[in-house]
Amino acid sequence: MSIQGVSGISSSMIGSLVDLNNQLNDLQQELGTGQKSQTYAGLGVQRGLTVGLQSQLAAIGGFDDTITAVGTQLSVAQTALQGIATSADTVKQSAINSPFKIDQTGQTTDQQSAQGQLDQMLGALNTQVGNNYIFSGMSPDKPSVASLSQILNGSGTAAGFKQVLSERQQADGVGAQGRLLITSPGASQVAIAEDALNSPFGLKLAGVTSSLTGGGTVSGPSGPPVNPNSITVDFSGGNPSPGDTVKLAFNLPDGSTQDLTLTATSSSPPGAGQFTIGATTAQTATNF
Amino acid sequence: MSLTQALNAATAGLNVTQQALSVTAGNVANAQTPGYVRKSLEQQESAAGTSISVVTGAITRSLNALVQSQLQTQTSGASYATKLSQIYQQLQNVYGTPGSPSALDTLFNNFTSALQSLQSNPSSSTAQSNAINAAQVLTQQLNQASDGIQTLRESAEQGISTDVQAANNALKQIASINAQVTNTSSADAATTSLLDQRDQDVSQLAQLMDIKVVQGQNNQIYVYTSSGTQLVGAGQAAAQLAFNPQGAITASTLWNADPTKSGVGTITLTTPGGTPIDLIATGAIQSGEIGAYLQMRDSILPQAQTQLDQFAANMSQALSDVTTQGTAVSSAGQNGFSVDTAGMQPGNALQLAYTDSLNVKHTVSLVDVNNPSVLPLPSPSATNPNEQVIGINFSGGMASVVSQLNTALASAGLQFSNPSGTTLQAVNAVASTTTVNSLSATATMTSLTSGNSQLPLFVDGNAVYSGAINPTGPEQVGFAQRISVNPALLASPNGLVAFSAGTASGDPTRPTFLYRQLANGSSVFSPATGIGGTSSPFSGTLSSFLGQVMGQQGQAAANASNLQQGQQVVLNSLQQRMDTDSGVNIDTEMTKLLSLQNTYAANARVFSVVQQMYQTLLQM
Repeated sequence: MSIQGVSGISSSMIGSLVDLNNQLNDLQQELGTGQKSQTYAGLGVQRGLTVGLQSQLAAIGGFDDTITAVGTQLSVAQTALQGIATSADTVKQSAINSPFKIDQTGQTTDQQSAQGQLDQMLGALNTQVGNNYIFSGMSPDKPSVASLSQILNGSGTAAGFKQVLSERQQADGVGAQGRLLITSPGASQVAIAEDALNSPFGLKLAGVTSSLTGGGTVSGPSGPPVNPNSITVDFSGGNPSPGDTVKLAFNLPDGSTQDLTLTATSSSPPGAGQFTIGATTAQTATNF
Repeated sequence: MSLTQALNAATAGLNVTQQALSVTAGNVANAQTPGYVRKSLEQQESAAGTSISVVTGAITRSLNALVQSQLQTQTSGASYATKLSQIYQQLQNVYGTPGSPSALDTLFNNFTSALQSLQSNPSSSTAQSNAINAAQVLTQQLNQASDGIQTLRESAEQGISTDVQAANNALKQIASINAQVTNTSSADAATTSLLDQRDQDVSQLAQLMDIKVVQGQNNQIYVYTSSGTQLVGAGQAAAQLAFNPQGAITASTLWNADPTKSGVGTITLTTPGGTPIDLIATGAIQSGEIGAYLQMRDSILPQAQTQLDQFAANMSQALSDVTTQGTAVSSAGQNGFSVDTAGMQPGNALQLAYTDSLNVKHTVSLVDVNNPSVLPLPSPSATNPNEQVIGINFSGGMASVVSQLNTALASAGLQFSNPSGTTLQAVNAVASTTTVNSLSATATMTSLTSGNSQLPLFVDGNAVYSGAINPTGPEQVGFAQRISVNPALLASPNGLVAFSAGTASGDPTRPTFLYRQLANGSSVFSPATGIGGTSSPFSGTLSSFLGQVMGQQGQAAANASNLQQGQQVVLNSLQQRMDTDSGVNIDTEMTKLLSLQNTYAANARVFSVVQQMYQTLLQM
């Protein structure tokens, strides 16, 4: 057997031994960490793909977290909305068949329980998840609604509902006719007009129709943008017959509408919702 | 007397055998010495009158010159591949372990996810500060990665410095041995060991740089660079290399053939004649360790830095830049667009598209430049070869902008004007058939509450990043090293949601915009990053660009490692061949030893025979 120097064949053998050792180390590391390589170089040709997959995984993980968070909010919101519906039902049911009996607090039992239920509804509307008021829309850091006492009684310079209600009642009720002015532009004419142009208070004229026979006419509402709304009932064409009607339609401040029907009658004095046909058309207008 | 002649011959024989023995002993002793070439003693017959004797001849080296020169070439290649692979492996560490919390792409994904959860819960201060923290960690990693790359460049610079010294030593040594061996006429033991020494020096030099060695007369060798510049000649002092290492290396310090503009050191060769030659400019060093260092320092590492810079720049601008489309204007046959240039920062651009009278479509980028010394800008644009770039100095007011534009683009049949305020109007010139197709302005937001979803989330030091072109170079160079999260946001993370003074705390507009830009926003990346071709630059999301970068760098590192292994195999097999041909084979030496022993005994026998003959003669 020939004896070779270290620099000969044995040096390449040492090289291969070192390579084998390195390979073993790499494989041991792979086994220990469960990862193919510690660098991108060692991942093979699909290394770019891993970056893309990692980013998708992160995005999906993000969606997952978001879905969990939103799921919690939704279930809490559902509970709160159910509570509100239950409160409303309770009030409606108890209102149907209960006696009107004022106790020593000055309120009926129903009124007291309604107040309690309203308080409960407001509480439900102010439901929080984490530190967020879930019914507050874009400003979840602020309560959705104010407290019952603030709403009813006001706080500081802000007026409460009770005060607003009473002031509104006063404002709408000026003149006891819902801020309507009744004038007589001609002898046989009646004009009904709002007291001011575009005023927020009082009754609003929505329309007028009639079944007047004998020549009476109705017109309006007209006026804006120059003058307040007004309607005119004109009897100058001739007296109506009994049973003819004039129907006035009003928009109320709460958004609802109400019709008022006046029926012509020959009896005097007239009943509720009637007006007496006079001897002359002028007299009929006055009665109207 | 003939007996005396025989005695003399035997004496000479003993002499020669003794010397041959010492050569063989030297061979055996040096069997493991690196670079040792097997020696053999020549012997010749000598004759005087009727007597024949033996004398020692020269000591020769059993050198296979062909294998040796191949080995030298491959040594350069192998040490180049080894060094390249080493630095590539270090560069891989810069990007972090794939999938680990420190990997660049993981940190970017974390930032995106943080914005995603902020989007579903904008008013949560936890979600806000989570997003800010994720952005901060990402910028820190970008800073560290850039520092890592620049540190690698610095160590390459130091490596070159050390290697140049080593190369100088080797060159001096070679020249001095050249001078010594030319004086010794006959090849004796001293000369052969000097030659061995010189071969060692050459092989050391070959490790450092690629050289060509030419054998000359009188044991001389000539060493040239691969480009043919002489490093060592006969009877001359060696040429010396000089390197001027630069201490601080940053992303903007790059090599330049002009020494006044170069930020890093260059290798200068001073020949004995005194002419300095820049070896880097002439491309004389392509291989060897120095070649690997140079390639890393001047091309591979700067490109890796450019990739990070481009990523940082595109990420920053995706979140901060607002593009306003121009409104159409038309009067008296002149049609075009007008756009408000208010809020444009240096580096922001107006995009103008027009079709000329020959029905050819043109795109022009009018870049806001506030330092006229950088004009004119290189055109066409690096990211889009079909886009003409014109630098416009906005610092002199709108009148000056209009006059610059009219000068630059009058030949295109365009007319610019400033109808009011900061508005710029571009229409076709009177009696020109050019059509203005679109005009838009891009502005980088500087305020957190500009009323737009865009915000300067990332900043360059203390200033907003707008890609300005400065006399020292584009702002983009080294941006990854300087990028940080806007300090105003660190102070109030609420800025991630509040895009104007009255924004509701739960308004998801801005977080949604930020998330979409990062996750789905597509942008164009310069071909200088090595990704995408010059004719069709890479366009995609930030994440896909990052994937391309990781893929490209990983592939390059794997290739370098494969090259190194391949070179090592070639080198090993050549080395083995060299050892077989020129190394010491103990078996051969032992056989020789036996034969020498016998020769010595035979010569001694001649002595004793002569002795006996003398005795016989004297007793007669």
